[in-house]
Amino acid sequence: MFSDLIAKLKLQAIFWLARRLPVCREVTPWMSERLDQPLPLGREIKLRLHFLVCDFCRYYQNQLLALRNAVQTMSNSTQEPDPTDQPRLSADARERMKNALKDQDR
Amino acid sequence: MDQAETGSGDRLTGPETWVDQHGDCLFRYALVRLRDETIAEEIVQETFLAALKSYSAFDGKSSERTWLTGILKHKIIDYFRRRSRQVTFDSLDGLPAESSDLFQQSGEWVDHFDFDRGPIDWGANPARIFENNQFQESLQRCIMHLPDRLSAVFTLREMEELSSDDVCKVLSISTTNLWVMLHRARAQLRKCIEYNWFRKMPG
Repeated sequence: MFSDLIAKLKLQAIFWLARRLPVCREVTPWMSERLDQPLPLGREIKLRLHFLVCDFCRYYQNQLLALRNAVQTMSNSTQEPDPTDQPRLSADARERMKNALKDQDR
Repeated sequence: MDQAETGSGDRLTGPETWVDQHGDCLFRYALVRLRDETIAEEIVQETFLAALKSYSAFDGKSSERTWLTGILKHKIIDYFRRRSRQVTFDSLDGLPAESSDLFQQSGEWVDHFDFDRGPIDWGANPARIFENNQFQESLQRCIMHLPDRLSAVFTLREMEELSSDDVCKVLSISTTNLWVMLHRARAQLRKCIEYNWFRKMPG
C-alpha cells in the first residue's frame, strides 16, 4: 500500500519534471554537439535533468559514444582482410599502379 | 613481408611490390572514406607515387604500411579540400533532418521519443561487437547510405579525427552548419545501426 503510493508519487514527480524540460527532439542535437565541445551551462543542466527522467535519451547519448568508438575501430583497422570477399583492388588498377611506379622510378 | 623488414636505404625489390603488399589494405582504407572505387583507386595511386618521391625520407622506424597509410591520410584530406572548391559543402539544402518517425506525433508527449521506435539499450558492452566482421560490414553499409556532404563531414571528424575547426577549414563550412551536419549524420547512422543490427540480434 505505502510502497504503491511512493511509486505513484515518484511517477508524478517524473512527469512533472519531464513537462518542464525540453523534449527529446530538441535535445538530440545537443547530445551530438556535446561529443565535440562543452554545452552552455544552461543546456547542460537541462540535458542532465532530462536524462534523469528519460531512458531513451540516456541510451541515445551512450549510442553516439559507442558509434564513435565503432567507427574508429572499423576505420583504423589496417589488418589483412580475413574473408576473401572484402573489396580489393582490381587487376586493372594494380597493373596501372605498377606501371606508374615503374615509370616514375626510372 | 621481408621487404618491410629490410629497413631504410637499400631496396631489395622495386616499389611496384608495394601494390601487391599494401594495395588492398590502402584501397579499403580509402574506399570507406571516399565511398567511390574510382576515386579511391586514384588516391591510392597518388599515394604510391608520392611515397616513391619521398622514399629517401622514410626512416624505417615505422613499418612501410604505417608510413604509406600516413601519406594516404594526407591525400584523402587534400581530396576533400579540392572537392570543397568544386562543390559547396556549406549548405543544408536537401539534407534529411533527423527522421521524425522516431518521435511521438501527437498527444501530451509529442516530440518525445516514441515508445516502440525510440532508442533501445545496446547492452552494457557494445565494444566487443565492434570487432565483429559482420558488424563492421553493416556499419560500412550504413555509412555508404549517408548523403555526400554528411559523409564528408562525418568522415573527417570521426575517421580522420580532425578537430571541428579543421573540418570547417578543409570543407569551407561554418561551425553552425558543422554542428547541424554532424548531428544529422550521427542520427542517421545511429538509427541505421540500431535497426540493421541491434534490433535484429537474437535475444
